[in-house]
Amino acid sequence: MRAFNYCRPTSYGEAFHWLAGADQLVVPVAGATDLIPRIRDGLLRPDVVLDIKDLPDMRALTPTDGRLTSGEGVPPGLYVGAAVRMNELARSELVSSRWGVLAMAAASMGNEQVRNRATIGGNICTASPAADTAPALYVLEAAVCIKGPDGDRTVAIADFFAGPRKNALHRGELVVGLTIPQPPEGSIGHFEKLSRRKAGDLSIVSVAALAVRTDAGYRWRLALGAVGPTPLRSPESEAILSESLTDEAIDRAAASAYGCCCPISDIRSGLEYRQAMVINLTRHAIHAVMAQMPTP
Amino acid sequence: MPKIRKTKVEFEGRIEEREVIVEEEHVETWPRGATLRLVGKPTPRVDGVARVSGRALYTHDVQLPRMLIGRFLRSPHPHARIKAVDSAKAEALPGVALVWHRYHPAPIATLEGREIFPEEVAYEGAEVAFVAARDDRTAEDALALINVTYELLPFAFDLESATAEDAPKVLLDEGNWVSREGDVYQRGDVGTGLGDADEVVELTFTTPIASHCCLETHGSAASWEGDQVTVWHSTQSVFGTRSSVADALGIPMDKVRVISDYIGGGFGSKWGAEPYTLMAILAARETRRPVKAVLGREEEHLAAGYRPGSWQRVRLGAREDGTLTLIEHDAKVATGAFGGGGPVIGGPSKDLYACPNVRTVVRTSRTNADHARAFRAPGYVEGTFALEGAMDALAHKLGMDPLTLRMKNYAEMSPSRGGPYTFKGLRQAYEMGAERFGWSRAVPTDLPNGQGPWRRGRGIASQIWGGGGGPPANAIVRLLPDGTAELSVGVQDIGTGTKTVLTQVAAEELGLPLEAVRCIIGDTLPAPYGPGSGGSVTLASTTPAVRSACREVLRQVIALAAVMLGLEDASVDDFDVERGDIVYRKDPDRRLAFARVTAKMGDYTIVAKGARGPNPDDKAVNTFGAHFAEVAVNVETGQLRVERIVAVHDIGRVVNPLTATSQVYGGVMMGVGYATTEERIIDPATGLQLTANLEDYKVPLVTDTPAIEVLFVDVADTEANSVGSKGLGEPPIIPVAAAIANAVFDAVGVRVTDLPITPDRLLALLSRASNAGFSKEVE
Ligand SMILES: Cc1cc2nc3c(=O)[nH]c(=O)nc-3n(C[C@H](O)[C@H](O)[C@H](O)COP(=O)(O)OP(=O)(O)OC[C@H]3O[C@@H](n4cnc5c(N)ncnc54)[C@H](O)[C@@H]3O)c2cc1C
Repeated sequence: MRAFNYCRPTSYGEAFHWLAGADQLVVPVAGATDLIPRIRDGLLRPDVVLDIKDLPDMRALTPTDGRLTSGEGVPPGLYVGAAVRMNELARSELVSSRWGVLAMAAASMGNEQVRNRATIGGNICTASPAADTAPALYVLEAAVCIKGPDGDRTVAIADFFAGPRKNALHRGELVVGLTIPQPPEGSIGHFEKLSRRKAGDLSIVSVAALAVRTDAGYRWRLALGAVGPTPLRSPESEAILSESLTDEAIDRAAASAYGCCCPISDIRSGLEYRQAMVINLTRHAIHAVMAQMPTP
Repeated sequence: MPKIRKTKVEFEGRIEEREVIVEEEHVETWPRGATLRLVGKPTPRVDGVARVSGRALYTHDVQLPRMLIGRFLRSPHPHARIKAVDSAKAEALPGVALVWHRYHPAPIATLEGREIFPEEVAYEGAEVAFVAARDDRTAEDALALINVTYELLPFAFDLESATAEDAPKVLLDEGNWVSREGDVYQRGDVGTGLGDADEVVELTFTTPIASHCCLETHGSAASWEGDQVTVWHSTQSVFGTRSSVADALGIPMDKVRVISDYIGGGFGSKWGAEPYTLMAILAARETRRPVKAVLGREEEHLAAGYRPGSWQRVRLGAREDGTLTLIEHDAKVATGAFGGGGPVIGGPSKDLYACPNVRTVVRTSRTNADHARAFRAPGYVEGTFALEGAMDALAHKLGMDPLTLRMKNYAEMSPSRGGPYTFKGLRQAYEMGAERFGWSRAVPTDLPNGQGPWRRGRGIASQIWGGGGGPPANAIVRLLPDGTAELSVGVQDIGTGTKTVLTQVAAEELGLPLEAVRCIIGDTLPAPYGPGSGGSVTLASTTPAVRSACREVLRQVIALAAVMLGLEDASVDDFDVERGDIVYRKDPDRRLAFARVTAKMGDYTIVAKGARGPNPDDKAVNTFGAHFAEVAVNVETGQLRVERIVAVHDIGRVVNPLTATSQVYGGVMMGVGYATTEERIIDPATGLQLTANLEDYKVPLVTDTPAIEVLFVDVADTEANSVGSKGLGEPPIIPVAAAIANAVFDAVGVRVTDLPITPDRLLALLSRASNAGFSKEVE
């Protein structure tokens, strides 16, 4: 593997100073589970690798009290620092209390060793269509908090993913965390992925479903991973499910989900199989959510 | 006195008659039911602590003062002509000691008759240049500075494209077929077999290219002292490596010492000197510094061998009562650019069942790939998948229980050799397995059939393999004055537990505790010749030699004891060795502790050599096994869960049930990978591998491993050799894929004939079957 320098700043000032360096390639690193394989394979040749884990609040995992969130009118929710690891999410009681779909997604990722290192910031910054936390973050309508030399901004998660390995960051910016609104009490989420092996494997297809409790019933959100250039929501399916949950409606919702996707064939699976699995997994996720609904 | 004798030895499906030098085997065979102190007892590895604590020295761990690191530049194309190589910048890089390539060759340019840097490179990963530098990073930087001009040539990346009418040539000067007519075995007559049949099944199978995925990648390190070279080589054969190094360098064998103390897996892929070995040796001589060259993980996939993919057609004929009348097995394989001989795919069809009419053919073609290598039961894994799948289909067609059909065609005598076996315990294996598995019971209902998407099924498959071993193999035992012993055998432990079983057998024979025997293997310097660890021969070849050497030591000790007991005139045979005592048989009160004798020895060391005797004439020595698999198939996603495998093996006497059981665990896991996830995928457009890493080439993890229950028939094969044991390295992988595929059929009624059984593939078969009126009748 090619040599590089490593720095671990503790202040944003220092970090942005490094990142602004014009004469050398400076790349942020968190858990390094994506970055190191890419460097080893020669796909990326950084001069400096900048560790973000010691920057302020990068490891915060707290209910939002307004301090960490930017912008106004953010509902009370969860703040997840970019350097929070998968196993922290998977095992946190706070996360499981209202944002269980995210905990499920985090728990499904990679294997134990990877989950001990891999961070949520790294997962979304890599912007793989198969990023496992993404469908969960899509249905939770998370917002990505970005810091740059010129200030802070917030981007909706669905706008953050721009294409395979493309995210909405400008040069020199860092993701500092995510704010995740709190779904109303009684909301039910479910995440599921299909892969070739039980552990240590990327998704062939992944699905997150969230039934958001309303006065009238449930408003559904549905997102899919690994079936298009970015993770995606299926608004039509959501509308159908929010109307009705008959078998016929579920079939229609699954069919609409299929309509949203534009998967490809790769070594993980053929195109036809992916398409078939979109329908299947969607239906499965819907049923899994329904199974948790209180019987009227 | 050594004598020259002829003996038959089975190695990876081929029976060889060897003329070997043997020494009179003067050791009585341990009878069945013999009470043995250590042999047969579960014994933790004698080197277990060294392995898990990191003290064990693997080739990768070799660090010598001033050592350089060697790396290869490899062809990024499947087929090309090298027009020019510009290495000036690489040579000028500080820290680079030397650069060798076609236009700046090493002092020796060929290995085993093949050019190391040919003009025509015929596979992705072929060696193009070698760099030795002060460290890995410098070597890597140097490789990036080498400029190669390639003229791209058309390529044929798989069996189909290489054997098509107008196929591109794999090598410019050779035909693509290595053997178009094929290796043919025949007994009886196909026409007769067909004529006699009431039912016939014919199925076509394909199996994938599989990578060995040794945990320790291939590698060597070399260091010269004067005209002597020491080579650390991750190898299954230290002596084979010594000859190939001596040959390549044109120096006497005694100038070459090969060490392979610990090996992180070989599985058939690590034999003699390889290009990295020779380059390390030559670079070390040139630079007067030690040089280590080990492959990276990607190189391991590109240039370190594989199990070739296969196409197979099997036709079986049987009478109504299940008696086989015909086995016809036609196979094609592609073994890479250099077109080595194909594996013995027809082996199982030739020998697993009693059948009068058998014809097997294996045709071999070249492809633009590295050369295929032996891989754990080469040919038999592929061939058994097809034969045992066809047997299952036949059983179904005849309306017979698959186990009954196998019993019906049980071969009491060796079908291909005509004569008897020294011992065959396959019937017991079937019975023990059926009993443990609950074969006669209905499919368990804890996962309800017909409810939800999961369906359960069960399948069986059986296996034959060699593993009898044979001469030559030697051992030297030294009895030291303090009563401890040193055992030296010219083998290596490729992870199977060889060191432990050798120690057990020596300690048993000498009447010493396990701790009092030190076993030295994996080094050509102290040891007399021992075989390579392949063909499952190691234990059966070497343990009888160990017994023989220990016997000789005991004779000498007894002679001394006799004097000390005042029995000068007694014969050596009048004494027994019992719990560390030498006992006069005619008067058991006259006994003397072993240690008292050795204490008298002063500085004297008793040294004795033992040798493996010949195999019995005209009897076949084989190993057998039967696997019972239970699977669950999700009919909505095509996912397959292998839930349980009961594996029963007949390997004669089990010397160490603990390591033997581990061996079966490993074999079954490897079989599960072969059956379900492992596959080398090559891009047809570029001819390049898409799975040259462990992220995309999926070996099973512990979470994919079924419950494995291991049983042994454990009846000593007293006619095979004096220990009564046979090999187990390869057998446990052989029947796994077939048992799983048969269980899938039982679960969902579709016969999977293409491996691996991916969800993708299985779902397509399921939907095709349901369109065709989903039923088990659809075959
Ligand atoms: C064996 C294995 C299995 C895996 N399995 C899965 C899986 O099942 N599902 C899945 O989704 N992924 C999987 N991955 C991929 C990877 O582990 C995840 O994407 C992980 O979340 C990446 O996080 P990280 O902290 O390790 O990222 P890093 O490797 O540290 O960084 C990834 C990228 O993001 C950038 N980056 C990181 N943090 C920031 C930040 N705060 N601001 C700006 N840029 C940043 C880095 O520059 C880099 O380009 C697997 C990886 C491995 C090695």
